[in-house]
Amino acid sequence: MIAKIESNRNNHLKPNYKRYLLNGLCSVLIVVVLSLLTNNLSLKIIIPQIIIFSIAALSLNIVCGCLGEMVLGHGGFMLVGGIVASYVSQKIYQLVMEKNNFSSSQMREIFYNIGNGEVHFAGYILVIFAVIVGAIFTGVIGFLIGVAVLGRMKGDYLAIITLGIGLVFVSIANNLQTIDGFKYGVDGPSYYTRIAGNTPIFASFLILTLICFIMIFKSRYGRAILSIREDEIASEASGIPVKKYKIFTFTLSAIFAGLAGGLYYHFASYLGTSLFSQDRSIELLVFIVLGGLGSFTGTLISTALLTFVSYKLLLNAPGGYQLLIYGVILIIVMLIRPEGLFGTKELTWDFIKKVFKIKKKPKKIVEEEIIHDNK
Amino acid sequence: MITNDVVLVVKDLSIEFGGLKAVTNFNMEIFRKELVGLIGPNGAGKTTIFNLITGIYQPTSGKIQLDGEDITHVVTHKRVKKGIARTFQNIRLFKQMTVLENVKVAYHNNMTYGIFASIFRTKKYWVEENKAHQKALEILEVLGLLEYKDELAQNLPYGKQRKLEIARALASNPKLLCLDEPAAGMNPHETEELMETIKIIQDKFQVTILLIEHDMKFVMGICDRIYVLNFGELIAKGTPKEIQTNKEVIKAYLGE
Amino acid sequence: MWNNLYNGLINGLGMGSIYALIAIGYTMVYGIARMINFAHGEFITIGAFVSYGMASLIGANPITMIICIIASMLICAIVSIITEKLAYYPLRKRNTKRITALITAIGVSYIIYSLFNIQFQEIKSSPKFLNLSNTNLTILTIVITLVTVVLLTLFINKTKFGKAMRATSENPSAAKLMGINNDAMITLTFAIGAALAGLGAVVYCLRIPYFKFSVGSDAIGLIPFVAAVVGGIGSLPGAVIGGFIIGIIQQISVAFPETSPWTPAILYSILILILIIKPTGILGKSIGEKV
Repeated sequence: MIAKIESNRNNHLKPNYKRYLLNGLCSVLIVVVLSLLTNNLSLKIIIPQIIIFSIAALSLNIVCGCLGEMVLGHGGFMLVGGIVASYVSQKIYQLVMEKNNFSSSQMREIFYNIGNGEVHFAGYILVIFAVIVGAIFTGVIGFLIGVAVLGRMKGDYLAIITLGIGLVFVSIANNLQTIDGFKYGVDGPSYYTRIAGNTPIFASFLILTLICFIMIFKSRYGRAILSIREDEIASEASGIPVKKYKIFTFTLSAIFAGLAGGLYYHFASYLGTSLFSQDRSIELLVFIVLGGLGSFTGTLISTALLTFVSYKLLLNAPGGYQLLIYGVILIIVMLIRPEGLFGTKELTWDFIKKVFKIKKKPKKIVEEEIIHDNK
Repeated sequence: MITNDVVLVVKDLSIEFGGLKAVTNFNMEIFRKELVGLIGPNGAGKTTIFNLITGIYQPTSGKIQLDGEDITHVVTHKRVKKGIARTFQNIRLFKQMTVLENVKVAYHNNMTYGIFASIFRTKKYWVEENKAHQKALEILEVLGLLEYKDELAQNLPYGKQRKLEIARALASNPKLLCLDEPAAGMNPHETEELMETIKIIQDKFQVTILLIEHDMKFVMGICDRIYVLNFGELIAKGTPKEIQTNKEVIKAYLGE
Repeated sequence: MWNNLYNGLINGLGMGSIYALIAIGYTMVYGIARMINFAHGEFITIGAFVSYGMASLIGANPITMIICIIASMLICAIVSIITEKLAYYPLRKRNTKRITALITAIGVSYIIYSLFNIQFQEIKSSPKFLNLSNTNLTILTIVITLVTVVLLTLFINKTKFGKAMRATSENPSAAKLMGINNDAMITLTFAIGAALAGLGAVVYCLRIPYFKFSVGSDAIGLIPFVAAVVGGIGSLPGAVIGGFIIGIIQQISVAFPETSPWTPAILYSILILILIIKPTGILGKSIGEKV
């Protein structure tokens, strides 16, 4: 009797509002901290890149780590998103300028200030809008590719075909260089002059990405996707429409990769196509494998670490050494701890509680005794 | 417990693998709440028939009907929705997920909340997740796995893993439960326990069961009827008593 | 226009034979170890530098060319055996996931690439072993490739080692039971693949008058890999046919200024098309999964 009461109380799932508030506060804190950190000269360039590549790496991780399908050529999706975002951004800027017959200085007052590089509210709105459009467009492309490819192949063949697709994207982008007259490979309108001016946006999108992914993966969607990774045949036999979920995950991954690409454009005003070729795709893969396939925390930490390390190396070591050290790190990690830093685990509040030995109040025991006494 | 209500009808089912006739003109009827056994020497085609019934293979000819509905060309995960669930001969658990999660996966089709609800954790999400949670705990309790609910599936002992396979299959609310060698690798004590459990499952979840087994004591002990397969063809069917004395069956197992 | 086409064809056959030699390495390693060896391209770099180094020592003429070829093949084979023993073999023993092998291969390729980057930053001119016209050179490279392929096929089909390699690639457990040392066979495969890449590198230097440290990853890059997949990864004749097809298409595309900048897109689109129409490639066969 006691056990039944106890188990019923324990096993009713409820939203943990305290936890949500805590997470919300932490998110705001992170955005603020990151934005402030970028004021520091040495971190100015690194932090936005860490944020942007974290988003890209996370989006790759949901397919490679959570779904279990190896996908190369992810840089291609970033490129697509970046190009579309750059087009939208520049086009709207031009339209506003023409429609209202503003001079450059008037545009400056609305969107940004060349003098001190400050981004104004309208500028932020423009960036957010352009980036989201880019992400959606990439998502559509990802969906179409997913439908064409995911039903009929997996494993090595899927990896190779996605590599090919990414390379085709890069090659086409290399040749186009402009869309409707707007260059995406060289400087866009220079209202992103203050390179780190958009960091609040970058950081907010990172938080958004994390929220989306964590919420989705802790629901029935997450269970379905993970079950496909574990055993595709058993998953199908348990009622999961495997093909549909593969396409879903792939599309989701494309959306956020496109998002990362769009954000990158608004960081650098420049989409050098070579930045998104197979070197980039492989670098993302390295990030997620080192962090742990399937672990979001691992991805964040390894991306931050490796990006930081590679920049410091680039500054201090002569040409060529960066890649050498990278390669050695890869091999050592694969030999010693192939599952990566975090394996498939995450850093959760529960874990932190355990580490610091914070316990729950002993309310239950009292109630138990009362019932016991009544008997 | 045999009624006249037919759950599964298999008509003239055949499948060929590049010239090799794995199953030929197989016919079977299973009545609601029956426990039917499918036996035969190794390689007779038993798992192949399972794969045909669950949609992993497509037959070269013949029909399969579930509750009167033709499901011969329905894709596997849709068949699960319609009410067929199965376990596997070589355990196919979701190793790195917990026991509870393994069971909840199969409950997927009984939930309807979408992505929006997942991200914003709406009321619908909590209501449906709770239902799934309770149902999963119920099933685990019946199968004696409740204490392991947060354990990773790969950490369970072999016998418990086999039971988890069954628990997972039950979570999809099946009309027909197909068990592929549920007692494989079990010692006599575990087999006894499994027989008990299957009886309880039949009772509590009102499922019809079709199973493949080699353990004759097990089969004769719990099956209402038995079908015997050899070289892909049906050689006998009937009650355990009838099968035990059937000459063809004895010949198939022991040779002339 | 016909001039362009003719040039494209000749160059295509020439480059195609080089790609074929390198593609064989990709396909053999995949066949026996189920691994895409992304580090394979770097053996071209090694081969090119070895033959350059040797040529500076002993001079460049048809006789020294033979010596340089042998040296290049030998050194490539040795390097591949070392990397296999140090990096890939421990992973195989531990039965880790395929992605781990992939990342390790990437690591190896980074290391080799950067070692050459650090040491040799200038552009080197290829040793002038022979003085042939473009057409004659092409004929020579085709002959070299075909002779190599014939020898290799004989080796695989007729000799004990070759049969053992095939056995390991088809069914490792059965091969083990027959007393075959699977690990040795895999190492042998890697070595042969690398040696062929070394040969391909020397032939490349015959055609192209200069090279630098990135020749393996930039100049040649993934093209032999595409060739191997198009021809059917795992199939030796497939790699050869794939090499020639891709080589010809590439060189014809390069010969016309309208299509030239689109060449990579064209090649990778062919890869995608083949994978969609016939994933196992032109000459490949498929394997299913048992339930």
